[in-house]
Amino acid sequence: MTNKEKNFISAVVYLHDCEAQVRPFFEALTAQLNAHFDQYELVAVDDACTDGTIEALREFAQTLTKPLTVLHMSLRQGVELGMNAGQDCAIGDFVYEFDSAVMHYPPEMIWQAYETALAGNDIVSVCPSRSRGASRMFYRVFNAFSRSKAPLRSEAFRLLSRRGINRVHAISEDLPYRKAAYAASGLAMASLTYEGDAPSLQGGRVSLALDSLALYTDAAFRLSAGVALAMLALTVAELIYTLCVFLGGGHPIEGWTTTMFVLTVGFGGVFAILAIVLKYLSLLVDLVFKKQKYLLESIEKL
Amino acid sequence: MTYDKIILGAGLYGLYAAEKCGALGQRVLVLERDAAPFMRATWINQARVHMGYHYPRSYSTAIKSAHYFERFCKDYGFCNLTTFDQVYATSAHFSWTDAPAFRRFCAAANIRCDDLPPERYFNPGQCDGAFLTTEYTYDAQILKEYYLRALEKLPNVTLCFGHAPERIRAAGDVWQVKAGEVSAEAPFLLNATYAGVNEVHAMLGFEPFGIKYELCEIILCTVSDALKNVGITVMDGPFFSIMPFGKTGYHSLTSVTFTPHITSYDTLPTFACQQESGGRCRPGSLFNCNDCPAKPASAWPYMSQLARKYLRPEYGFAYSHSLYSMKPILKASEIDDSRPTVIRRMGDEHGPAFYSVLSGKINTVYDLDEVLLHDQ
Repeated sequence: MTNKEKNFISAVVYLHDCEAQVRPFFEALTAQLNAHFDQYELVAVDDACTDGTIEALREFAQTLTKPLTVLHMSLRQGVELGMNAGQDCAIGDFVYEFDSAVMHYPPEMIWQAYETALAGNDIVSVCPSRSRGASRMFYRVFNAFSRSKAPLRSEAFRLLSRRGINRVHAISEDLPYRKAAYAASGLAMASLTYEGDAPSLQGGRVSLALDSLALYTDAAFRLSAGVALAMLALTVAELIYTLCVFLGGGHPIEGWTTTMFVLTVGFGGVFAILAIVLKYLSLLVDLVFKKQKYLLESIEKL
Repeated sequence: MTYDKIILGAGLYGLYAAEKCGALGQRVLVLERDAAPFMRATWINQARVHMGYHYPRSYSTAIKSAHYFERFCKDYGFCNLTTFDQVYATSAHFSWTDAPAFRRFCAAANIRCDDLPPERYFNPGQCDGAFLTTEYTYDAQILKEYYLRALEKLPNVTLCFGHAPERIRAAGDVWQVKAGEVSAEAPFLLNATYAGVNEVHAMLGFEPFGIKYELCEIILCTVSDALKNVGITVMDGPFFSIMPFGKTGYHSLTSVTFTPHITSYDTLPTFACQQESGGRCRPGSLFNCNDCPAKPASAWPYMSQLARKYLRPEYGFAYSHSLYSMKPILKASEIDDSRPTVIRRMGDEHGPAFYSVLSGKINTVYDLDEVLLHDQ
């Protein structure tokens, strides 16, 4: 009989070409989990690794007594889809999500995150004190346009309760950007901060940033609707000016007033319709919420 | 002693053959290494009377299954539990089948498939379809009593428990079998030893079946009222099933990932735990896993966790005990997941008849008729 925690823990780790880090990372992770939990499982997402990452993992698994599942993705699909697959596979009461196999933080934070979750937080994120310039800018824009109460920031890893996962999936099936989906779930969130840098995530971050802004905030809609309305205002001003010239009896050039009427009324109509179309588009995005599915090649149990 | 048929193994296939031939007046000897019939796979499995739902990747197996289902229910209805809702669900993730594909498959195989709201049973996002189906569970102990009573009435059938064949050899047109103090001969030998099939082949130098072996654990659970009259199977991939276990009042909990504890790809199953069995078990002579001191620790933490991830909290279940048995799986059936019955005549075509049977399902037992009735 041990006094370890009885809750079942899943740790999902995203791997892409990190041969050197994978073993030390899993050793530090399992040391923490062994120290505090009776039952846990590991889920590794092999996002089309081309170096020796998976061999290093297999070697590590020989000493492992707990189940390790490796999801081999068919082709590289990035951290969001990969981690979605990992999370769907995890069976724990609590699920850790490690987006990178680099541990910039003290390993004890893994346990602290769990303690924080037990204090009543369905989602606990562990964040660095410093983040890179581009990320900072993204989060500033995101938070300005997002309606969720919890501001986003750079995260090293996070812990989710099963209740939290169920809630997030009840809202939408797929999570194109997990962090924002969690923040939008309305569940209790907490964050811990450590002294240090954020793990660097490779590839595809710019398009992900744009997608998330489009899906989870109304930044894109507000920007484009703003532009359309500004253009509409300009054409209306032009129309008024033309009216003034016409009523004032001026004849700048033969046919100018007629041309201007056609142009300004026409463009005014176009911009007005554009603003309406944009509104409809943003509604459609909200309703449909782009379906994204990952391609899975095989599941391997070690 | 001379018999018409010698049958190795007193599982359902062995006793079915004994009864069938005994009823025809043939002299039959059944040799069983355990102390009683139905001590292994006939008893220790999901106890599902397959209608075919399990095989969306193999139409032929599904249709055959559905056909045998009717026949099994007619012949053995007394041991079936039929009064529960059997729910099949397709997992939203990692499944080889989704809800529309499952509907199409059931329509093609002409088996019942009524849509249910997945939210009634499952947590959000876990399953994309749930279906009410017709499938039953049989009670191996009731079936055993039936066979023991039926065979008692046939003085020409001899059941010999606690006897494993030590030597088998062909002498002219008969097989001579020695098991302990029993020496017998017959022109027909049926090898219905399931996981032991290759042991007998090895004894005779026959080509082994291409099999992998899995040491499987069936967990028996007590369940909450909501789950009492419900069986749930999530498919098609690394999922689980929790359904009534015959008429025992328990539910069996199994999972594709955690039910098999260890796997052996050797012709004769070789496992590390055999070293710790105190000499009871070795490659070439499998002991009964359920009675073995070296059986593995229960996978309950994992199986229960997997089921709880899917099931809504009101469908509660608690551990009672575990049963262990060895399950041979034909390697050829991995891709399409079909478990066809294999019946093969072994050895010299002009010598005495030797048939080996291997089947993963209870209700395809009728496949035996072909060799039993044809080869009189």
